[in-house]
Amino acid sequence: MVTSGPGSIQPQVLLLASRYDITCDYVVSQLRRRSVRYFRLNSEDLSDSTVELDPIQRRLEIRRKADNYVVTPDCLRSVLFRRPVFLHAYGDDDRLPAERFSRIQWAAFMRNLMLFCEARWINDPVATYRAEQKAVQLSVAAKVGFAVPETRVTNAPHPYLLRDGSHHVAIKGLDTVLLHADGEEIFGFTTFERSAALEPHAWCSAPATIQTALTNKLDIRVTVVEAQVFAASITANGQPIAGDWRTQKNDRRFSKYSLPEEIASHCRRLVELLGLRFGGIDLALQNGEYYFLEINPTGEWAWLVDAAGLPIDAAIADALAREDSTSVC
Amino acid sequence: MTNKHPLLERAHKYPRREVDLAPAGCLYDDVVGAWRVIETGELWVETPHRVGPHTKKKDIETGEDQKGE
Repeated sequence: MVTSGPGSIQPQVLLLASRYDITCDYVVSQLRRRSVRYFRLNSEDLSDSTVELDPIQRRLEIRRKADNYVVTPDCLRSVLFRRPVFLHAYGDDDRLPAERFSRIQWAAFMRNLMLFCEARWINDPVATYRAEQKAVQLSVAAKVGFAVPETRVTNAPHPYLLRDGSHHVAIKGLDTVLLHADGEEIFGFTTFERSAALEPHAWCSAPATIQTALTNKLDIRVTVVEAQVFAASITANGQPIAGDWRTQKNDRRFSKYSLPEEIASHCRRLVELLGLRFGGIDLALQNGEYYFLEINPTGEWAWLVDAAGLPIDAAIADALAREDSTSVC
Repeated sequence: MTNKHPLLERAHKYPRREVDLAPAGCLYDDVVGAWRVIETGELWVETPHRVGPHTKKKDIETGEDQKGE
């Protein structure tokens, strides 16, 4: 054990998470099977810890109860970043100003750990921020060679894709549609409509993403961890799901799926070009063509470990634990 | 502008509920960094009954990026 002072532990892997983020438990379980020193730093636990960050020497010391953790670039191999890259205002934040202040400052503290830039970040928050932009994703996906549905991001009263009223279109937010108001939560799934059903002038107040809808498609969730590609098809009652598969809660089935090598290669290249090491990619197979829908740089994956038998937890742990030739401890 | 934006018009609305995000019957072990079943002492994630989340707020669809924590 390499130490930095009596009783201190130097983590090789840092997990930045929330204690309620049980997906992180999957990674912890896998890391315990590898001989690697990890430390999970949860946002809820920060106030009960004492932290001291020296940005010049790049040394972070965390004291929690009887334990002392020292993070240095020499020892740190990797960081699993499962925190927000920015905070949303949902409309009914009833926290006290002091509590809001504290959350904002701790969130910034987590982001400032980017100064450990030599570590392998899964994912780098800067890359995540860029990769979350839907238009950027679609642009890079097309460049990689994916088929991409015809798309407009617009608030035009008569968007190009709505001019022909017989079109089936998919409409979705440019960002997550999630609001809180009057004790209710409001969440927007991707909606499929005939364009004639949409009121043209209602679009003006905010841009939206409008795409040619893919009907009779099979949804495929692809999870990329560095060079490894895991895919699962999503069906209900043995059939593909029309519309947004998240709205289908019953009899949903996730099955291991074998992607053609060319498509797997597109997935790897997309993740790489976006500067990511991990990505949850939504594809749709229609008439033999694999269409790119979106990539989630912080996408969920834990349910696929159990539901489809995909060892994504092991792949992430391997990527985090891997020792580079430059590692000194 | 009187018309409601189509994305809001079609959004799902449901009563906001406080959800206990901790796995049932577990306590967080901050040394290990994982939830432990109180009754057996096992790590919850290493039990056969674990169910990984589809989203970070369990079954409440909030998108996948934890932007609002």
